[in-house]
Amino acid sequence: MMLAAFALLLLLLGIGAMPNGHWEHQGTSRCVPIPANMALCQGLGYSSMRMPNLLGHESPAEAVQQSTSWLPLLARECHPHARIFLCSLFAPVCLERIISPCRSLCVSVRDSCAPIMNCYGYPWPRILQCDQFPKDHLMCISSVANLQNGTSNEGRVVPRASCTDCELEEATSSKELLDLFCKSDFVVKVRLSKLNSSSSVLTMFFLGSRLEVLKHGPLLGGEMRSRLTLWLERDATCVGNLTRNHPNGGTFLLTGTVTGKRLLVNKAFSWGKRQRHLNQAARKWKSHRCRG
Amino acid sequence: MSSEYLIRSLLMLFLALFSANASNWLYLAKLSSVGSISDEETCEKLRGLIQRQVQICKRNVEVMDAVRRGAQLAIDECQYQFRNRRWNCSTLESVPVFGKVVTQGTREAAFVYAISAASVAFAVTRACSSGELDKCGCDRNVHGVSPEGFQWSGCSDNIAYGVAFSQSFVDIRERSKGQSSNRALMNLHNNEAGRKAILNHMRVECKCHGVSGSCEVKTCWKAMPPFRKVGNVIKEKFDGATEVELRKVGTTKVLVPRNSQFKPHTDEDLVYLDPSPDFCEHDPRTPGIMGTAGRFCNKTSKAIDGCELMCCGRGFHTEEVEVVDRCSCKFHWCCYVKCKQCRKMVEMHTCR
Repeated sequence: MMLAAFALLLLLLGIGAMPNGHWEHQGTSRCVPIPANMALCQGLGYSSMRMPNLLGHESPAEAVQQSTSWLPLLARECHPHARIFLCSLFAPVCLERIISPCRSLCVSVRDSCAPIMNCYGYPWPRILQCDQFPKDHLMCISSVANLQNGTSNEGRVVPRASCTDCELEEATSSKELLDLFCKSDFVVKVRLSKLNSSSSVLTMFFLGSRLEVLKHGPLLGGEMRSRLTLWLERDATCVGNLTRNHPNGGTFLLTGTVTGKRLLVNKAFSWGKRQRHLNQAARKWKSHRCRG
Repeated sequence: MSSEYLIRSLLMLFLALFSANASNWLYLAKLSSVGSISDEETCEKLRGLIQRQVQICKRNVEVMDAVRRGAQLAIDECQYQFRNRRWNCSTLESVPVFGKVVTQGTREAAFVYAISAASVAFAVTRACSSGELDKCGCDRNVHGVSPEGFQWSGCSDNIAYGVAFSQSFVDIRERSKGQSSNRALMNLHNNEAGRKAILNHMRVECKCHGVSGSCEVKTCWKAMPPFRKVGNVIKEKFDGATEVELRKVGTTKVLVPRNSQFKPHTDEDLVYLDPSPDFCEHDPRTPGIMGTAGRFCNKTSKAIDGCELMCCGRGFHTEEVEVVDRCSCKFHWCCYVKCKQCRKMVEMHTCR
């Protein structure tokens, strides 16, 4: 069921990416601002990109369309520099010379992310074959060493490959829930509401104004909301799984892990009136001491 | 009446006074200061056009900017391809822009005619694809699913339109002389060879779509090669050009190889009638031949760019100069490139 849903989502994204009009003919390259709706490549430290990009996309709209299908993969946090690698192709930095990723960066990202793609039945794509990129030299984007200066180093360096995705769970006992709370980095109760106009934004839902944080973990007070907003934008698969039976939204208890600047929801529960175990666990959590 | 309009009118009048000897449309490349060719009145004042070309210009005013870009493309590509030869496609500020080099039936003239016809076809086709021209667009004959299984989509270059326009505009001068002239036949042949250099190198470009960049859905379109590729092809034809002469066959006149031992030339080959001068010395009586004095040459080369051949045995000067260049460039995240400044002494050789 999960696999089918993910595949269906990607297939729809793929179909949506078909060009619908006559294409601009190739001319000289130019600098354009990174579109605000290009979620893949926001916040990387540069704001304009070269068009055509390194994947042959002729217009920003085309690049945005094609880049959205990569968002579910990135939400899996398969590699700390997966976004930098993908954006060096989708939204290459606009300098006097073409700056491509180094082969080592491609190999590192591929080795970590290809297993995740295989979970959903997709091989590493032909357009990202690592042989096409230059062996490391000074004028390509290489691995961690070059990136240390700019972006802040993420806490967990070793990529974590996992086939699991978030699912809406059924609470069976408050003890089990308390154990889950202890193992998770964060626990938060949120209200997700359906957006009325979804034509211009990627996400279909927005966060309610009230967040009830049961466990902050490494996230400070104000960070929880911004991290959850980012999660809503980027982890379309997880959000889709949670709201499959709640098309207009609802109240959910979210648990998961925090990796650097990213928040990953692993398990979630629908919070309703008859959720006795959830209420018990929430009450007991205030005085609960985790073992170890 | 604004001063800009007045200046433009005076410029037009000035140009008109010198249009009596118009003979070569490549001069369009020199008209960048005139701005866009946007009305029929401008057609009358353009130097380098014969009367029938003026008529084509009036009927296709919107195409003429592309023709002008084609003229510039032809000159730039010629100067690139001949950059290391004695004659390096230097231009004059008059008509014809290459001087007497192209008025004689030399293989250099053959190259110029071929690259010029190709550049017009190329520039017009590109204008079609970019949506600049309303009367043409993408090639609509390319659609559906190809035998290889991919979907034709996007904008296939409408090379048929560009070639047809090049044939009508560029060839009109030769056809106005009648078919009998050996020079006209040579030019018509070489014009067509230039256009064939594009037609025979059309290629298929594709994009992958769909799920995370996989090629589950692939769309393709037909595209012209880069014009550098066209220039390379025509230069190869120049290197292997066939010397021909006019011969009567029945009631028609055709060009046949001067040396009957050579195999006949094909539609794609360049042909020429007259041997080339050596291009060694500047001759005031032959505009367009600047000679090789002062040209850079390569001391270690035995090819045409070597000092012995380039300087025609006259010898060369050697001078040591300091060259400052960027080196050890490094990309820094995120995002800038930082280079060092490298200085080195290099020997420069120039012909006496």
